[in-house]
Amino acid sequence: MVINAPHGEAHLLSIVKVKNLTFGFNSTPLINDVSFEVPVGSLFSIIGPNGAGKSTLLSLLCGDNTGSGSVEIGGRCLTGWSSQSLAKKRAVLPQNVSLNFSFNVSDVVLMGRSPYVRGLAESDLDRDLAKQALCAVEMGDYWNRDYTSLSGGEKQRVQFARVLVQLCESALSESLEGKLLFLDEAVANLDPAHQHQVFKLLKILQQQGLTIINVLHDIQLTAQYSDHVLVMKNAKMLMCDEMRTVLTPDKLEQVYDMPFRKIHDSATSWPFLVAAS
Amino acid sequence: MTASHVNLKYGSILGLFAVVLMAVVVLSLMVGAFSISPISIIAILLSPLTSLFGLDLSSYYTTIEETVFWNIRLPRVVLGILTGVSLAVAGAAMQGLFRNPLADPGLIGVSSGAAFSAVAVIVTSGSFLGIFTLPIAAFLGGVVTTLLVYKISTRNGKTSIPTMLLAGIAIGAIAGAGTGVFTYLADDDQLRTLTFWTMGSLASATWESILSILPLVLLAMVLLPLHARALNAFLIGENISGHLGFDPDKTKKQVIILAALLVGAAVASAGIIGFVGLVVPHLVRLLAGPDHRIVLPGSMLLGAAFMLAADLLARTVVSPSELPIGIIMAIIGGPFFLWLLMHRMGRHTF
Repeated sequence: MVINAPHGEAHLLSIVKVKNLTFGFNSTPLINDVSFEVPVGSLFSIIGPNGAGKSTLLSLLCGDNTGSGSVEIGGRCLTGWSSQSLAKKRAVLPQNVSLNFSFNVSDVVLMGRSPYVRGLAESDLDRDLAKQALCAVEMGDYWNRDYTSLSGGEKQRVQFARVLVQLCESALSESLEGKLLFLDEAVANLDPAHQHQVFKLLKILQQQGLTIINVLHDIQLTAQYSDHVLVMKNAKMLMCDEMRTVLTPDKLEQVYDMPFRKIHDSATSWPFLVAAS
Repeated sequence: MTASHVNLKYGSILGLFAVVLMAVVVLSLMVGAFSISPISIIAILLSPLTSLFGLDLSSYYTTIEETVFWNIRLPRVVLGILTGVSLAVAGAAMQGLFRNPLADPGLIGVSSGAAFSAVAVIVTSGSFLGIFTLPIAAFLGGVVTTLLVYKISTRNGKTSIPTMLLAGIAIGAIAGAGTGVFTYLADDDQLRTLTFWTMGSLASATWESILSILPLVLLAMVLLPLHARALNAFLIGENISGHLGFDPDKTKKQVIILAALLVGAAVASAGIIGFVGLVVPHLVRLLAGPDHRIVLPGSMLLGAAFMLAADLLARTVVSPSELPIGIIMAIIGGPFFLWLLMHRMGRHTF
């Protein structure tokens, strides 16, 4: 199946299709008539100024809110999915998860297995997967630690392990084609080393077929890791295209109302852009 | 740790609670203004069975012991178990729902709402549903209060805990004032019932009052633990529980109704008894962690034991007279709540 993307470029199969999406409280729309498609297997980033509607758009895509217009995931309208089968298809990693109760790290990761658990208790497979996922985020020794005693960065890596075991049916190395991961500024509180660690993991998952939709602020991370970029401004979609088309000094000036400069660095293969006030 | 290790850990904790409960039950049956020996208790319990086989055990106990046992001691113990189970597990479930360990049915005004509606029924002598009138009135009062507190303190799916506690205080005060108005309207006879009852007591336990709440309590005891995993997911976030495949709205509605049902049942039969729903789930979490698969059944067992132990104190410290159990609970629970607050300042979690 070949679908024409908004900008005339042909994409093989879109996993998310959004048409005329509008959402808001009272009369002020938070999302105003947004339409776009996300190609299968893309690392798709949503950027834009504060308050532009990025996180609201993501909440509409993952079903926390419902607006007018349509959101299709995997060829089916979002409201047509049962919550359990949707939970096996897409996972959501929020910015930070605070807990008032002292769960162990293992408890938190195992919650990711919820859509697969029949009855009351997790299986040995669930536990094996959870252990492997913790090792994948370099938290293998933290199985019995109290989640609430961890640092912000450690908590976020545990949450990453949780969404990882939610997306995998029976093995971490299995194909993730047709599955989706949403990240809402999920690396905003991490130090640079851990930010890149998360994105390297995302790249591995992408090679397994996963589609990743990512709200973020960091232009450098967007440039280094994204395939496609959607720009939100004042509740509207300003543009949606391949990363190199969107991330130019001219277009970024339009987005943030301040000049940007492109720095030429032979060591990087991606555009290196800095705000130049 | 493998799955079977976890089952073993949870199993042994529940076993421990069951043993504690059994011990308190036996003690409660024995001790009182009129004490009954363990041998007499066994003989009284077995006599209906053994008489079928022509065996007469009546030489092991006196008629007075038998009467006290069947008509006073046993109903009181059974009612203590039912109310202890109800209040403790309702507290545990509400704490999960509000994502906060301070959400006790007493603290957020649910008990007061249930009490107000029950007092209104007593004073107006309403009896539209027979023996179920009082429990159902109390249940409706509890549901309305819980929904009000939840609506007031929740905006865009986020429950503000300070707002919840303050709204609970305000609604509790309003319901308390309403109860006060009704006590003015009450005649002398009703007044005596009301006074004792607003302080909480198991003294009025009869088989009829037990029967009137038994179906509701059993129903909620079976249905509430089915939400254990959904409540666990709720603790890391209402939206996240939806992402994990649970239905947050359904969980919320059902848990609110079941918890209000339990609080209503307890209030209708024993009056306002605070702090059980706060102290017991906290102790269970301290021993077993916050997983609702252990916290809910654990709170049921320990709640029953805790209630019976407090009642034992209530009827022995000033024997042959007795204290309202609500006073005993406040003496234990009040300082415990303060300790919890100070502990929280240091650690931020429970």
